Amino acid sequence: MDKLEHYLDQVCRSIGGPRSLRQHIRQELREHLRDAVAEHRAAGLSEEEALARALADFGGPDQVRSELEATHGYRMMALVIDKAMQWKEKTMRAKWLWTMWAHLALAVVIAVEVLFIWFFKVFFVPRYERIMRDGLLDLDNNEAALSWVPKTLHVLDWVASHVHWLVVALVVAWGLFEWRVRSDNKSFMRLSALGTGALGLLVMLVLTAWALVVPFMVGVPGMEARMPERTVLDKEARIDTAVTALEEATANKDWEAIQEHASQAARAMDSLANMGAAAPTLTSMREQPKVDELRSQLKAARNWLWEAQKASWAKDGERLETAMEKFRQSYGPVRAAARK
Amino acid sequence: MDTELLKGTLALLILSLLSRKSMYGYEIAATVHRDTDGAFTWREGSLYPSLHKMEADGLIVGAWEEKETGRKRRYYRMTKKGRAALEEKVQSWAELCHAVNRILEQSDGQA
Repeated sequence: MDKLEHYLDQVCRSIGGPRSLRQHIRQELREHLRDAVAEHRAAGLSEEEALARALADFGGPDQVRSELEATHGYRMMALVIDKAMQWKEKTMRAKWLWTMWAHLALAVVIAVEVLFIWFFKVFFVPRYERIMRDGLLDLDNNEAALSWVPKTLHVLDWVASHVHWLVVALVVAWGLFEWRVRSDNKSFMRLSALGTGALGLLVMLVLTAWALVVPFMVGVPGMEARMPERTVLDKEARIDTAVTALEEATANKDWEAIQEHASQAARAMDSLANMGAAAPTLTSMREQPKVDELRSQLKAARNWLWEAQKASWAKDGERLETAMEKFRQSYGPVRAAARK
Repeated sequence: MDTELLKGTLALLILSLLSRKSMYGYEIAATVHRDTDGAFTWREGSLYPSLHKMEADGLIVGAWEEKETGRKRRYYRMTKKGRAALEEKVQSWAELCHAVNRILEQSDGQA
């Protein structure tokens, strides 16, 4: 009798009014149909035939439901659920809709990824290369671990410089695929290709972003700790090397070498001129002993403040007072120099 | 028989049957089928909206009764208001039949 209950579900579920009314109507209709089935069985029909006949005599569920709804009203929620189910049934069958949506979504993902990579290539990579060329980041101890960074950026550069050939190859491959391939799974194959492309671009995007971010994460703390004299001396050495080479090339009238060394010298000079700390550093380098003394006093002041911190944790007042006294002695000359 | 004609007369038929005795839905349908020799071919499901509408209008009242077999049935009986409505409908039906018959008699032989 599952078929009977299913029929009653269809008829009664959206009838308005209280739940008890729906139960009464359902019970009444069920008794009618059971009487009808019993009569058809008595006439010699099988159980299944008798039920089918009784339901046919009673009328289609949609018709009976609409007549009962006209008398008792209808439940809005059930109506909404029915409409949603009908929509689901329709859209689930609409294969073209889902396929089109999947193609569109993947195409948008690929477009956004390409846009991001292009943005990195045009705006970030040149600045990154300039920072690395000027030696602003201190990667002395991490260069081996970061050897993949320039390789990744080189791959990006290669792809960018051959992008027109890649586009041509892709268009040809796609054209051949659309022209030659005949298969029921063609749309799935196309989706797989688009998905693979999107995945590849995503890997490239992540690697590029990672290659631009990691050196900064590694290099910036060291950059702050590095003594400016060393940076200034490095830059000055680069200028000297480039200018010497330029002069030699000029003497030899080797224009190709002249252009290359002139460019190197200009870049090195530009780098030193743009360094805000270059002039004060060069000035202080005339009195290097004083600078070294101030540095040792700074380190001592730092050490005594650490000691004061440890004393505070141990709640040792005498130790704390001693540490603070030593700190004042060490930090006094630094403060005086800063005020001067 | 034309089901559209039946729709208009369903309330009259139900009230007429219930004037004999209390009946439940299937019994009403079976009685109509038996007494008319199956002349009315209708969807039995249409009976219940009509019964419920007439109950809401106060022409009939329904009550559940449990039989010895354990099955429950909803019996309908006619109210005073229903009886008055039946008399009115019978009168209207007689007038309608009379009017229709007169037209048919006058048109007889001309077809």
